Amino acid sequence: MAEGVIETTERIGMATSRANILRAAAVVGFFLLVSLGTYAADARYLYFSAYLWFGFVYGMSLQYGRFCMASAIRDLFAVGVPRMAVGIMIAVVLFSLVSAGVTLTGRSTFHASPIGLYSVVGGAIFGFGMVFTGGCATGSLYKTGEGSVAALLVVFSLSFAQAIFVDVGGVLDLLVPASWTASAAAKSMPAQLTATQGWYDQFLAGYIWDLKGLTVGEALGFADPVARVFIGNSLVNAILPALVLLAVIYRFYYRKGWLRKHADLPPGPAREFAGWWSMVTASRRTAVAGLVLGLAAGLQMWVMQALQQKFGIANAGELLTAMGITEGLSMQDTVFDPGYFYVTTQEAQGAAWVLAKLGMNLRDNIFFGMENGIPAPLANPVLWMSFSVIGGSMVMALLANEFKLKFPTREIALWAIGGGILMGLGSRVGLGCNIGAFFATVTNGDPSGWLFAAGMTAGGWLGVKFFNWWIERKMAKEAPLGF
Amino acid sequence: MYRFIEPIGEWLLAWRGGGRSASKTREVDVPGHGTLLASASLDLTGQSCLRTNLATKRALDAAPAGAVIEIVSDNLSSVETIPFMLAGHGCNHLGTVHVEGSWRIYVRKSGE
Repeated sequence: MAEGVIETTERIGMATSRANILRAAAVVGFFLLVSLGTYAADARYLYFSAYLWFGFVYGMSLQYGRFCMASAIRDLFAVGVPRMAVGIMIAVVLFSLVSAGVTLTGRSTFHASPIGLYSVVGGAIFGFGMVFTGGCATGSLYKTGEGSVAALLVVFSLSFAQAIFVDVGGVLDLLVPASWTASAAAKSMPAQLTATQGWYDQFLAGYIWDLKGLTVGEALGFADPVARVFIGNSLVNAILPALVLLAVIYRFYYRKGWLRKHADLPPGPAREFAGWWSMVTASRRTAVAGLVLGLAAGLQMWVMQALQQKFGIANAGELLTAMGITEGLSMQDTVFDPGYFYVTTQEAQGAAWVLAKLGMNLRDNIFFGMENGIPAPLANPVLWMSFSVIGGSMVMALLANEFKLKFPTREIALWAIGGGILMGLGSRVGLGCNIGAFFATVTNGDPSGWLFAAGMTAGGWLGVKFFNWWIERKMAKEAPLGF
Repeated sequence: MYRFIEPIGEWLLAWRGGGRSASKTREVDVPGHGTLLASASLDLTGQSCLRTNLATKRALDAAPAGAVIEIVSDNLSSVETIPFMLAGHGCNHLGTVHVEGSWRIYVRKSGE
């Protein structure tokens, strides 16, 4: 390799062992067995398997591209590397175009979130915690598949923090504005719920439900559906902001270094475009992962909607009821079923299921009792997707000889648990994580995703500053380098 | 809380020490460049991405012109990121080698 050429892990690596190939085959075989076995038992499990295999593709792509939103923010602010931020923008552009096409066919499962300050606050808490864990919600899943026990700790702490947070009251109730309580009390709620008790219940019923949400295509008043989805939702809400962000990142984090190496080129727009394009294509892995994620995420919406039509349902709860599985449904006989790439809520359900088995009553709150239910893991189609993200990543890591069981140090474990708790709280306040509240929203014309991203970036920046101080302090005590 | 977590951690996990270790001058084989004398080898195995990146940044800044540095990491995200950090610190990427579950990144400080 010539000196000065950037070559990362692409085309480098030891050939994987026969044992790893067999392990990868075993993981694929397990998921195939689950899919085929459940389909043989009941054809309606096809709906679950659709989630499963899209999750598998996400896991493979995330691992291949080392795709993590924590890394996007952290690397940009901590070490000035835009690789991951660029990959995410590529995925945003692609996903938005595919989503627009899917929406146009009438097969989109997306619903816009309410627009409010909560997105910024939730994003900030999530982004701050994400820096300490070393991975975003999806990043932690795929890193678990690579063998990272620290990432698994993040997944657990994020899940249990959410499950507990949506149910607790007590001292947290003191933080509830009186207007939320009054608004929640004014709504006719089922008697089983205590909507005027508990911070999160009052947050939802007294604040979130009073907010309005709409897509940019709707806000701009396009009568033509093509213009509404392709110009309003995709171009205005996703592509143009992504291009602006790429230009800003190029200007502040890439241009100087690139110009130093290409001082011989004549100044002008052509040179600037060449530099910008060099940034976009600098990491092949990340760009490819962004492309695959964007396309798969859009395609999943189409497939899930097609399956809903096939089975004549609007929510997986109806499917479960028809299959005779009624335990764990919400009081509206629904379960969490977004129909697109999403993480955190299903993991909260998994944790709530465990806590319920231990005797906790988590069904007297809006989040579980009224909206999402607490289905058993095997009856939770979206949780199948989370498991298969781990599986897909594991297969990819094994085939590339990159799987390694890694136990954390005590310090890293504590950061993982603490950061995971913050990510859990942030994802509930923000009504989603880096995927559900950002990636899936901005690409479907919902501007609330950019509010979450702004908060996540600000929280991430603050987290990097804090962590930088902490690391500097620690490293100052360590042995000096041998220079 | 910490007093509660610590004994569980000691029992459950084979936790290693938390710091990076740095060794002094040693010969390293870098594909395409032959045997080089690395001024420092920074072992960041087991570290989180951010710590790996920040420790690398610190080493790159501290290295004198001409020094060859070996960075050892098993954090794939960092292994992917570090080569892109180098230009901003006046360093060149000599190569990356995958050995026994870890990646060795070789860097030369050009001093530009």
